[in-house]
Amino acid sequence: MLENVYSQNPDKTFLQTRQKAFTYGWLQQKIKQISGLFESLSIKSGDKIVLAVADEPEMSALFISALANGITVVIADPESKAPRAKSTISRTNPKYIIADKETLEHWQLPSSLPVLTFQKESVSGTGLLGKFLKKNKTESSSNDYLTALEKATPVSKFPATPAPDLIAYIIFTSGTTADSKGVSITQGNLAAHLATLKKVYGMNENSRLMNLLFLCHADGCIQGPVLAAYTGCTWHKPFKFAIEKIQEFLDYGYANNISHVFVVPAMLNMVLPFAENYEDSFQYPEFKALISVSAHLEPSLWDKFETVFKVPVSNVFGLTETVAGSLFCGPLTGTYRKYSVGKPVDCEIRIVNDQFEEIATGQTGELCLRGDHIMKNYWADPVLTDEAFAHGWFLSGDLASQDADGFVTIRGRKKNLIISGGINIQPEEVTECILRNPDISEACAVGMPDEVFGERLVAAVVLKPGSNLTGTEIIEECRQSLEEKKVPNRIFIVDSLPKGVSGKVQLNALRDQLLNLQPRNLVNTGDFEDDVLSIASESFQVPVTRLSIHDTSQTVAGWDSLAHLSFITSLEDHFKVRFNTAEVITMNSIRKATELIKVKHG
Amino acid sequence: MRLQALFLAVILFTSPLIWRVPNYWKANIMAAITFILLAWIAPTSVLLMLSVAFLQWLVWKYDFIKSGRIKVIVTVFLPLLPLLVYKWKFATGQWLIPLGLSYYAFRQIHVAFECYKAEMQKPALLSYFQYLLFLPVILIGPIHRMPDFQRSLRRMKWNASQYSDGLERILYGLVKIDFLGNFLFSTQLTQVARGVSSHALRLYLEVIAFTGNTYFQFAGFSDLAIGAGLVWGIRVMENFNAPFMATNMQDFWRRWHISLSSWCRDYVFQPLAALSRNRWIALISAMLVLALWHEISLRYIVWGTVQAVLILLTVYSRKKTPAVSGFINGHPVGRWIGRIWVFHLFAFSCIFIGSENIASLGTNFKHIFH
Repeated sequence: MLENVYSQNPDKTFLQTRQKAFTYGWLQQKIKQISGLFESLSIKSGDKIVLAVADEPEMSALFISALANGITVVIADPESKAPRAKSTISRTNPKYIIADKETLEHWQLPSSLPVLTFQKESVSGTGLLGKFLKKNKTESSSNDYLTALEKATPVSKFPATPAPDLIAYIIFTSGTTADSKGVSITQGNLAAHLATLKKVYGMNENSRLMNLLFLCHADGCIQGPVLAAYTGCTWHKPFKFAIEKIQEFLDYGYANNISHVFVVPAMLNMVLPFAENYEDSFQYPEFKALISVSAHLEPSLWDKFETVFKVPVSNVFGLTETVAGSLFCGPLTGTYRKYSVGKPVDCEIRIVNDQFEEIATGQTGELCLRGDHIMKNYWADPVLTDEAFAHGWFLSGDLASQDADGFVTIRGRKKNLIISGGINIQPEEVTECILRNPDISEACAVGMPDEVFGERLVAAVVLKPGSNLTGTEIIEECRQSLEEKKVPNRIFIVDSLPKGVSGKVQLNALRDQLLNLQPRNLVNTGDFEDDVLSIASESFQVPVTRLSIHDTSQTVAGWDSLAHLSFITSLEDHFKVRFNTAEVITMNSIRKATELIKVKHG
Repeated sequence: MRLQALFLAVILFTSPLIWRVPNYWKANIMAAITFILLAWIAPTSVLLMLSVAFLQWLVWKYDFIKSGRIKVIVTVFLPLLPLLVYKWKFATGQWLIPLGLSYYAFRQIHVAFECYKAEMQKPALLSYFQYLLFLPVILIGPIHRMPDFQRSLRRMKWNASQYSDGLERILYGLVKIDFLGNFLFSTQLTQVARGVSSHALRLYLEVIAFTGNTYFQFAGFSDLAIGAGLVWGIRVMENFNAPFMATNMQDFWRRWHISLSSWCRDYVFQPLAALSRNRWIALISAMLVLALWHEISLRYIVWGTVQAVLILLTVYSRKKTPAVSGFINGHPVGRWIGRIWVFHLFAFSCIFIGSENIASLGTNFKHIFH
């Protein structure tokens, strides 16, 4: 799987960040050195390590080195909260945990656990002065990863190819603390799928892929550094994707002759408003494919994007359980048909009814998959694994239909899963968290249709009599125990939840009920500041009492690029104004928003 | 020209280095080369440019002026003050204008306005210096814009045909300056004019020679700047778009010295139009600023006013005589009549700036029309 890394010209760039090129020589050396570290720590093929490192060069080197040695990587989100991290660790029993210092401080793991702390060499201050005052790392404790790595003797040869049935990595999907599923992908699964991806995307050693997705997600990690290493090409990760970086993102691809750009539909949606003068961003000979992954690509978005940028968008259907993809709508010849997920490549599909009988062409049923890339099992959970497979077929949980030409279209979801901006959220996990509050009698998290993010996570809550709990307070509580992306965007306080005869909440009826609830009617007092603060409180899910006119995107916890867009659109709706591109980019403080609205209202 | 040759040589010799280093470093290296060269040949100028930029940056960075309006006034006034002082002292023959001052002061004012309008983010000091210290446009413009410069930096990639386009533009520039401007219009046509006995015809030919030479010199230097920019990988805005193909004076001013005329449109006309709600006041003010940018003198005030009046008449005639206007701007024959008319209008308006004083101006016109 990693032959292309071992045989690559050491001067060739493996990873290009904004300021620095990490060569294949660097990666080769890292693999030998990290392999030496594994040896010194007695981490052997078949052992497991937990990785939660945010630094991209180091995380990718660690992941690839573990793959090379047949060591199972348990991928953890550095942002995950302590209960989830503890659950992941206790369920996988890793030989070592390598994680960022801040993450470990946050997780507060028992001291008995074997831990290596990753801490980048610190620079005091930022900018030039900071660099002049650069402090040498003085304290290096015994469990410091970089110190241990330095001390370890690099191995002389690259490790031999691991057995295909060894588990390459485990990713825990969203779910309640108790039932989150550990998707176990073997070396064989991964190798088979990487070969498919390389073929479908038409990649070779000269490819330059840009993937800005998170490394703790399969689409970021596997279709980023791992695919680049497998192909022997260059992975570009110049910055984190954010709304203020959209123009830079488009220019970066153009300037660096990026051949393959990986995006999630929410990114395409965010890019569209900034398209003016950037329409030629994908018009250069080296460009090969713009690949949308992780979530359903809405037909209207697909149309708009292709019309504006004059570039075909490839759409990939896949799950964490299938490494990355399974069905591909482009760029491989013969697989592209707009609005579909294309055709299966290197795998078989069946569309079945509830009795597992294959259904007629054009009819909707559950999509089942079979192929070398399908996961081995859910980690240490034979019951869940059994439920996920039937007669050797993996049940995707997605409803689909196939036309006479073999093109498959996704029609809906059988499993209760929310995909918001490409992030999978198990609503039960959110519901469980909300229900911990003693003032709440019932709760249900659901996904509501959303133009930008596909779905938006909200929750309906029934309070116990006499409780004065507010939605914002509930959200604040969620923020304490859930990752930011799993915190509901909005809480609806309702009198009751619609239930069927079995007592289960009827999700469709609940969605309809919530759709009928008008957004909270903000009273236009004529005082822009108060209204802007209320909208900011709602958009960023922060109690209004904690916001002031002096707050900026740096000081408000929930003010990320996604929430920023919602803030802007809410302001536009409420004040009946329209912000131009530059205003959207530069509106990074409450004061600026207020002033701009005052100006627009004359 | 000697300085321009030196600048060109530096740009050509350093271009392999620019293309060799990673993208991230390119702008820093271009700025460093410009800084070293300027510090060597025009230390006052570079000191003035960077000090003003630094002061503006302090105002943006530390936000000690809370009112947006006062902030824009201060950040516009900072580059305007040395510009006015030097232009005034130059007009009275006391001082020399620091190299490139007229151009970088206008660039600094552009950034101040854009920050005020929130059309661009307040620049980081390094980015601001990178923008100001861009050698190809230091001497004679264009007054390129910072967002365009930054975008061009971000999109920079080696492109052999772009590099050769750059060299080609430099060649065109040299031909325009030396052959068409200096030789053909300035030397040959002037000599022909001197041999003509009729006063009127002689002056007419001299006017044509002056106008032709002015255009080719200016367009040629713009070509050099654009070509040098391309050699370094940066696309600089076009400054001339076949101005004598314009069929009316309004169109002419969209094609002549575009970077200056669009600057005046954005930072004089538009704010004044918004403030006064009177586009004529705004137009006359914009044309006066455009004129005084060249030199603070009575003859330029007259010239600027004449240009404004010509534009006003164009707009007025379009309303009052739509048939004539339609013929001039729409019919193939009419368009040529329009072009000849625009050329002569502009050429004769240049008599105002070619004349030392009002008395000689009167004499010049008298010679032509009698």
